Amino acid sequence: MKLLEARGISIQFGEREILNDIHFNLGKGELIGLIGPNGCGKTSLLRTLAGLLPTKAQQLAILGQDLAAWNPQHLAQKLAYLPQGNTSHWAVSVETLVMLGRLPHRKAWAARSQTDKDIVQQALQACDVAQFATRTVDTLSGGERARVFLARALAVQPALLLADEPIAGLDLGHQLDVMEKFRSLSNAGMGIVTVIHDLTLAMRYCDKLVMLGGHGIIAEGIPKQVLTAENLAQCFHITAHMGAIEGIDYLIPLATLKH
Amino acid sequence: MPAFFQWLDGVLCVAKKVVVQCSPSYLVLIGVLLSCTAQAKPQKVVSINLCTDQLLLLLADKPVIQSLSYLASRDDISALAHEAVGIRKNHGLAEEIMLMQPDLILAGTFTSRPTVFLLKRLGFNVIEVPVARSFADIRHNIAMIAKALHEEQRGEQLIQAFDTRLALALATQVPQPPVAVFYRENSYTTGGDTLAHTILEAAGFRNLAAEMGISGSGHLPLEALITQHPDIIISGRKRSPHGSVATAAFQHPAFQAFKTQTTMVTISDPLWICGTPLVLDAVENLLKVRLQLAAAQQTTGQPTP
Amino acid sequence: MIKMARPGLFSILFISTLLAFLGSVVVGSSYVGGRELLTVLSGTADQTTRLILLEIRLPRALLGLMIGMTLGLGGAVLQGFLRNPLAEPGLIGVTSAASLGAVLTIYSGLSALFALALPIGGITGALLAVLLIQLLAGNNSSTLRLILAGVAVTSFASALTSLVLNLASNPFIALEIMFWLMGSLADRSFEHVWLSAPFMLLGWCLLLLQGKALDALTLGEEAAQSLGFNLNHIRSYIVIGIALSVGAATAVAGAIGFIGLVVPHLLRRWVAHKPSSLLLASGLGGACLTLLADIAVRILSTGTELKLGVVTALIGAPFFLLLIMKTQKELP
Repeated sequence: MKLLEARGISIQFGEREILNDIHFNLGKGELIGLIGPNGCGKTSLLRTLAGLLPTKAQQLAILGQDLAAWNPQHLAQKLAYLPQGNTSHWAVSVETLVMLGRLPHRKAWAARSQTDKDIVQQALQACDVAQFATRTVDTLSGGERARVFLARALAVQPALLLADEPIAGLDLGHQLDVMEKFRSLSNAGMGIVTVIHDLTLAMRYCDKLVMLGGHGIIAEGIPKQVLTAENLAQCFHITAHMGAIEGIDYLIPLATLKH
Repeated sequence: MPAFFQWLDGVLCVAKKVVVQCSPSYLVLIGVLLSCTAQAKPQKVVSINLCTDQLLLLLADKPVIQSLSYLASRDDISALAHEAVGIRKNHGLAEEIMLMQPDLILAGTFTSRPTVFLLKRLGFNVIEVPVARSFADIRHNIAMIAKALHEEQRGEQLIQAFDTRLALALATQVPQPPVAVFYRENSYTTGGDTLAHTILEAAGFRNLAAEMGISGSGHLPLEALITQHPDIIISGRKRSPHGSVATAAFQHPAFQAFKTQTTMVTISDPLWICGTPLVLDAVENLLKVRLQLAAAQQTTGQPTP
Repeated sequence: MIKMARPGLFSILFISTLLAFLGSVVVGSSYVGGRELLTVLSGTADQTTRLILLEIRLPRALLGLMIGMTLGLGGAVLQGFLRNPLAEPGLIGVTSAASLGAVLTIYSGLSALFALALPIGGITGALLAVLLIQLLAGNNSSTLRLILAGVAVTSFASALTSLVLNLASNPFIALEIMFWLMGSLADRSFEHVWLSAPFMLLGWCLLLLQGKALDALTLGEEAAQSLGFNLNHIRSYIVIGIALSVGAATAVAGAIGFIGLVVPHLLRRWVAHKPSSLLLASGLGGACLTLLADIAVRILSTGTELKLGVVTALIGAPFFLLLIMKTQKELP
């Protein structure tokens, strides 16, 4: 059973058409990178898949059940969404914030259980922010915040994770850490879709890339198949040099093409 | 949140005890007891309204009056201020009134609603006297209070004296009454259906505001005042020595120019506020003004308009 | 800054509120005070003292408690939902609408007919406001839309209230309206308590249940939705909860401001900024502050009655300024 199956998704904002007739699948243990130029609809697609943007779709099923049939709380236990921006409106402590990820699992009047606390601790450690547990979110740097918010998403212990640019603003070391984390999570069975701009990291860690552009999917498949010179030119209007070093593929953008 | 529910439980427990303490039957008993005693002539009367204060002073013996409102001794609004001296004053709060244990409370129809309802709920005999707008209202209020005080005879005497004096005033009418208008702070005027209007007419004037269609208190634009050219403009005593936005109209150049062509009259407020027999003093004062005006116009040769 | 353990905070709030409640019962315009309270509790008091304490002081204290709780809770909920520390319960138009309803009953003379006419008028106004808000804000859960709808309702209701004052045909009506608008708990009876209590309790239930949703909203609307919360429903519960509780409070006592704005601010740092913890804390804090203000009203009124709404504004505004200046210093 696929974790997520979508057919015929069309997204429109008022008169403006963003995406037309998109099909999307996410299987167990898959790490999919969603790439494309700014404004092509990556975030909108992600939001639609998370059930946050009501759009026309022939089919949108999560864990085999139609989105409309899901109880919101049960869905929230299985699907975690990590939006851009890392906003925390109140200066709560890191631990409190990560604990919010356990909300879907708690009954109406229940207090936090020991299980909740353990899971939160695990998530904090996994994202290397355990040492900030008692600090307030507003005292952290951008990169530290990003990891804390990721920990929040992980605390849900979801079957699928939809992340919107989770490594934006992180230093290189932590970028690698997060992608490694994604890799190990997906190896353990979690399905992850992440919007990503760094094509080298995308190529290196993702099982599959979906390249969006021109109101549709330009290419999808394994990274090598997607990141061809043709596709790069069509999608990003760039030329790039691709190579490998110590068995790790890399991509370096060279120049922009005239439109 | 188990702590919250425990707290709520405790509160409800206390509340139950409190409700049992003041169960309705308890209050009804008190009410019955109090109303039984109210059948007899009231010996302790409390008034919490300026107008009922004054009527009470006119209709009852001093020993019976237990308390008057604190407004009663202010000479800028109470016509019987000097008579109110030495009598205990109240601020119209249920607690202080309760402690006096009056057998009759006089209030106005605009006295604080919660206070009046609370006093009634506690079983006190509260009479609400309406605002007087005409001589008929004054007679009605006198009779109402006299009855409550079991002083019907005194009430009738007061009414008779009032009628006699009024008849005298009304007898001196002129065929073409001069035009007067109230013009107070904030361009405030009193039109028809007010006590001031009644007094004006009894003194033989026409009320410009009423003729312009204003009923109750209203607004008279400076322009209208000047174009209508009344013979007399009546205002109250100057309250603030430095002037205010409210009195700005009086400083207006147009008004200053207009003032010279008409007669300004200042009245004594206390006589005009409440519907008591003392309004006849106000009528008689205005009568004098009217006669003076008529005399002045005769000497200058100008015809009365 | 010492971070208070949460059980400690609630104990302090409970005790303060209890003391303020007792204070409200023993303070009044007459000599009846603490000693008389003891005589009532021991059953040895005379009729008058008993009536004063149980029929005048007690309902007033209860109303102070309930109204303060309502305003504090409403302020905390609205600030949490709108994620804006400047929100206060009147923002969604309930206070103005309730005031208008009450003012219309004064103007039409209905308030003179029976004691509860005025509060019923106020509650009607509040409920109509809810309908209007829901209509204006629609199915959209956008906070901006809700604020705009609230501003529209407030403006409209305030304009109509001014119109009524303008048309008041005699100064007594105008004065009565103006004094009522300033807020007061003087001479309220148990009738007011029984009328407003069910609305307030229902409102409190609806509002307290939104604790978890408000926590989730810390992360923003989308993340909160992804955690399983239906923002449209939550908005509706909050609007209805505030309309019921704040509407009833305003209907009974007039417009009392600043409590809903200031109390959540004061207590937020003591609950580590967590919205759900702030709810009950604000409720208790609001109750305590309102009771203290009402005590101040009675102590300070030497002749003319000082209005409760005026006192809360006089306490609240400088406090608020102080808070702003303090946070300015703390910013890097």
